[in-house]
Amino acid sequence: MYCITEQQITFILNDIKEKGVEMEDLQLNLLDHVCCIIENELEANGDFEQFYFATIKTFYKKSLGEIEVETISLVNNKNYYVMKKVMMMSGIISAALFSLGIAFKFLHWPGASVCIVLGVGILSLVFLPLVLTLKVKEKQSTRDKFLLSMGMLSAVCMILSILFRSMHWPGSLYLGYLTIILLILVYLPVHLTFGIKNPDTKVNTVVTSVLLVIGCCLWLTLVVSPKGLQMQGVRNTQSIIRNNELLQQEQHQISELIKSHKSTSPLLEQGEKINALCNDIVESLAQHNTGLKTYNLVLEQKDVSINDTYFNDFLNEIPEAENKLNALRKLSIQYNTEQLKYGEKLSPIPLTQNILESSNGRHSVKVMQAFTDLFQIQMFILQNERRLLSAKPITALLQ
Amino acid sequence: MIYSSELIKGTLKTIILKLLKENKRMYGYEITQTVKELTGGKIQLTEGALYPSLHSLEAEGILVTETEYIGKRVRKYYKLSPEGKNMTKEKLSEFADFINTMKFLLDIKINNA
Repeated sequence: MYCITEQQITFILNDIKEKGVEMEDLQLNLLDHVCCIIENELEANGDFEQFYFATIKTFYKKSLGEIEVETISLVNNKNYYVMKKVMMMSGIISAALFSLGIAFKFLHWPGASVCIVLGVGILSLVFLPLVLTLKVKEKQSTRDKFLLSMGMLSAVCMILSILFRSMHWPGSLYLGYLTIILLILVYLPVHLTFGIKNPDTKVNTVVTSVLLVIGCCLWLTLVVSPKGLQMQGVRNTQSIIRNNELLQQEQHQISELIKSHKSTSPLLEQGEKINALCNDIVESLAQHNTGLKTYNLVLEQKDVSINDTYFNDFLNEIPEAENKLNALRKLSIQYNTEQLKYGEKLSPIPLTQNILESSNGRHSVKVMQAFTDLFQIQMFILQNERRLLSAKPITALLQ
Repeated sequence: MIYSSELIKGTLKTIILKLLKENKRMYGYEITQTVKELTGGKIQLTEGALYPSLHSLEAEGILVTETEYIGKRVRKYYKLSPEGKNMTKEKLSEFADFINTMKFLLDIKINNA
């Protein structure tokens, strides 16, 4: 039996390290193993170095480092299978939820949004990152790993951008721009630079790059340009100002007529209240949308641009607006009951397919539509007042 | 006849678990020697296969380790964790079932004589 000295142990340990084994645990295991073999198989007066090198050679085929590579691969393998399972499950669940959500949406059933958000959320935040993690391991070069990561990140941004857009959440446009920036300014240059140099990948690189640029351009054609948005905003403002002018002229004429008739009636009083409430909502909506302190500034057209955002954003951010809208609905119902007393010549205020509808119904209503709805409510009242004043039998009911 | 590494690869973890079930704790060299003795040299575990498997079983929580100093060097003893004890039963019954299936599939006649 050979007795190993401390110097020989240090020698073996250093040699194991030099041969490419970096994991301390594995170094110690191999050191003890070699020492055991030497102690048990080498004769007491045997040649240590010759025996050691002959022994350590039997541990590997090409280099000792391959034991460490195999160890790392096996240790990671456990996670690999778990990740693969989670990836497949999340993929199936997200596809099922997404499809179910779309089916619910087309059938106008409740729960569509929840299914879509969960489906897309799992797809972009669990499934795709796991696909990336597993696929990156298969790639050898850093460049391929980088390209795969950038491609996947762009895909996640694009999917989230579409989700945000369909759910009317803010930030959809910025996520879309981020996707374009990642693809055109980061992914494409690397993809082109390296792919075009290799004759085997040259044609594929050019074709995929062209498709990528065209895809981005197609997406941008669907997006309104900043200049276009500004022009649209100015057009919206002009439309609101014109509606306001029309209303004021009409209201002035009618109030003059009412004064000349010296007329009063519950219907006229209710109409006045509804008018005032409509004006109130229009003012606060315009102020909220433009950020201006007074509605008069909007009417003076001083660099004003009304953005056609979602009406619900306004209701969510201004709590009293929701109360005013509910009050307007209540008053309109009372008005419609009252106007029945005056015969069929008067028109009721529409309570459906406009902002007076329940909160579910106005989920996708935009600001410009809300302005038009409020304008129409006031026009209905004016029209009824004009009819009241012009029709003799009805006029008899006044006073 | 020494069995090929392909054959041993799929059963290595089961062999380690069974040995550790029988012997309370073992270190790497001891495992290779025990297997060699028990099989009359027909199964010779290589270091390149044994240590990656031991590390993997440890990472999975199936094995736990104890270290002891032998002079200047450290010896790492492996033993079954509670989870490992259950796993051993499962692996052994799975392997027994596998042998029966292979016997049927390959139409192997076992000569008991």
